[in-house]
Amino acid sequence: MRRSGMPSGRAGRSCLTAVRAPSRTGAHRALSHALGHRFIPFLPGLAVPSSTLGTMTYVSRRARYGVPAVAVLALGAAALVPALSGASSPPDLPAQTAAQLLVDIAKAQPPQVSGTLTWTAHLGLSDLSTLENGAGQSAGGSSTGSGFDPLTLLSGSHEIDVWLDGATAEHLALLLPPAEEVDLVRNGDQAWLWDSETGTATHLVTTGAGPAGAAASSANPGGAGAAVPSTAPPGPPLTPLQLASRLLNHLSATTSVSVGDPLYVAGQPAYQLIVAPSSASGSTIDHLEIDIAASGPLRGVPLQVAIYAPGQTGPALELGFTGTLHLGTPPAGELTFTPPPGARVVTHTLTADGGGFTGAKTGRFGSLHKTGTGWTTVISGSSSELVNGSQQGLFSQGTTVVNFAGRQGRLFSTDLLNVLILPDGQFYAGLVTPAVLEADASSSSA
Amino acid sequence: MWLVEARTVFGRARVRALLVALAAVPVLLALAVYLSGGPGAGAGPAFLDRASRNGVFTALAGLAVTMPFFIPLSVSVVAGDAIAGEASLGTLRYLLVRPAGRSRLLLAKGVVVALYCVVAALVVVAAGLVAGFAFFPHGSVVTLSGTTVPLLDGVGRSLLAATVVGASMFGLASIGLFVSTITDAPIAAMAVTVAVVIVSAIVDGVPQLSFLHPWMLTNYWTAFTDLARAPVRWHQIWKDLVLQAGYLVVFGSAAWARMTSRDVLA
Repeated sequence: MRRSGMPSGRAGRSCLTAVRAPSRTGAHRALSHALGHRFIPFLPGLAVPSSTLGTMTYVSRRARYGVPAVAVLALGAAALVPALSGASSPPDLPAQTAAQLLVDIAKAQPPQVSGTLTWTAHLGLSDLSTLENGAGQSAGGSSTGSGFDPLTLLSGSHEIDVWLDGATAEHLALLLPPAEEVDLVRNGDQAWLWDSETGTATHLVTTGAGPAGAAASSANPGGAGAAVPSTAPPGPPLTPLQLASRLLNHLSATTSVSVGDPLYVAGQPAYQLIVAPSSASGSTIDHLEIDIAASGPLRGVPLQVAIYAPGQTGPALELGFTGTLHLGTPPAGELTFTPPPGARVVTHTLTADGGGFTGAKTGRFGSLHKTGTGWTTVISGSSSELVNGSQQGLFSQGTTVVNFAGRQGRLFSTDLLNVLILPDGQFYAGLVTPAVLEADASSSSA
Repeated sequence: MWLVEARTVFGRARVRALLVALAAVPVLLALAVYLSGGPGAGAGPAFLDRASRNGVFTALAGLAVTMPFFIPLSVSVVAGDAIAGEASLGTLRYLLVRPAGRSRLLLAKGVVVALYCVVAALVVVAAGLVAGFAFFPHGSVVTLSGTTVPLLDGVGRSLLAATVVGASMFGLASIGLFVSTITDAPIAAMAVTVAVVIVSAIVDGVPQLSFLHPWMLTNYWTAFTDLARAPVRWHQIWKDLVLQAGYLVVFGSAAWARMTSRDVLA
């Protein structure tokens, strides 16, 4: 590599210089240029206009930019290739029928695992923050001090750290950017809800025979029945296990269940169960995908649940494990909660049948009625607040006017949930198309 | 050479003024919260509503306030000035006369800029801790997750947060250094570097461009807040550091390619 006449400097440098130097004079110029006159103290030579350098030298100067270019390619490949190869090689699992998968689900042990759940909502609402700001302002003040607002879960993506210790204890931490979080820690019949924004620790005490409400629904999925908070979970979202058990309760003759292609969820091989309304029923749900762990201690545990609306490529709602799962009993420190000094401690007493919750609902919206069954269940009720309340402007912004059967109403529409509100405050809501709501409204008033 | 470079940079009046201004931010925050009682729960910048509960949060609030713009701005000034400043003064060719070589000169400049990044963040946290402990209680620290950690742990975490924030600036610093090797006008290099931050923040704010977000320089800049959780969530911080390392490799090597092949005319 070295040319004659070159001073022998450090190996790396002379190597570079040799590439750049087509002739002896070129070598001197390039060397003086590169090394800042260490070896050839000839100051004017430092300022070498590129036109006086040979073509070879010009190329080699350009070639140095190959280093960042190669770095870009290498880093891009390192970032993208694992994702692409992972997508192209699904796990090799023996075929399973839908019924076997349902049995697997039924036989699944409450998992002992910790990891991160990601909750994603794309309901066709571009951004709910304007809606929330509007609500805060029209209520006559800032929305500060109110603590965690479940409305934020209806759009975008949220991460929830979970630590699950079978049926005995669990800890869910909903992370709210930039620096807030809501924690639910349940250990036996003791449960704490921590809202970092207000510094409030809510102690949930259960009266009656059963364990706390959360435990009741996870240990006894058959008992949950019709109260499916499909779009607006009142607290941190349920674990996939709880959610899937509840969703499967809706299975009936109106539903088709099939098995999709196996896949990896959070590094675990999983079967995919696809649940869909069997006919064009008027439901806004196209299908559900439930990904069930195929093997190991998690076998039968749903790792991911997704709801798809018709015509969408991505899920409208999705809750599933992402990242890495840590199997085994979580650290005991994560499963207990002690209110920190300075926290506001509130105690709530729950009855085992969850009566307090429905009572609150009844108080605000009058009595709720359920019409239809299965996929096309419609909830109706009456609330004068909706049409006459202080949030009139917000109400007209978020809804559109619809005319049906000679009547007028307002429709709040998302990809999954539709709500029809009549001028007298009567409302109809369901995971159904607006036509179903309109038919319901017409028949009930006729 | 290293010491000389560090002394030159930190001895500059404008750099000292920037550091003093950075230190003033948490002090002003502490004073404002002390006089007004602070914002309501959940309002204002991250951690500010907790500032009055513990001095550690004054420091973190200072970091959260200066992180999005002030620290990047000052890093842009220092990084953009590194080579172009010498060129505009006509001193670059004299630096190259020294028997060190262009690569080593660039490395020395880069290391000093990186040092500035960390020092800037540490200055904010140190001033925040001093002001916070002067005005507010300094008992054990309540994390975002509702657990309680000893004061020393909280101070350690805030210093670690400063280091993470400093390291989060390495990508930007390498971009600034690269731009600084292209031009002889330092103000142009600073402006371009600040523009990179702004464009990155805008792209980060557009939900339709979410597929680009993991690649954006500014995307994980708020990850340091995860240090205030229990247990500390490392994976966002880790992603941030990996991303910054990627930017550092690409733009550092681009700066090297430009520096060692350019015509030094000034």
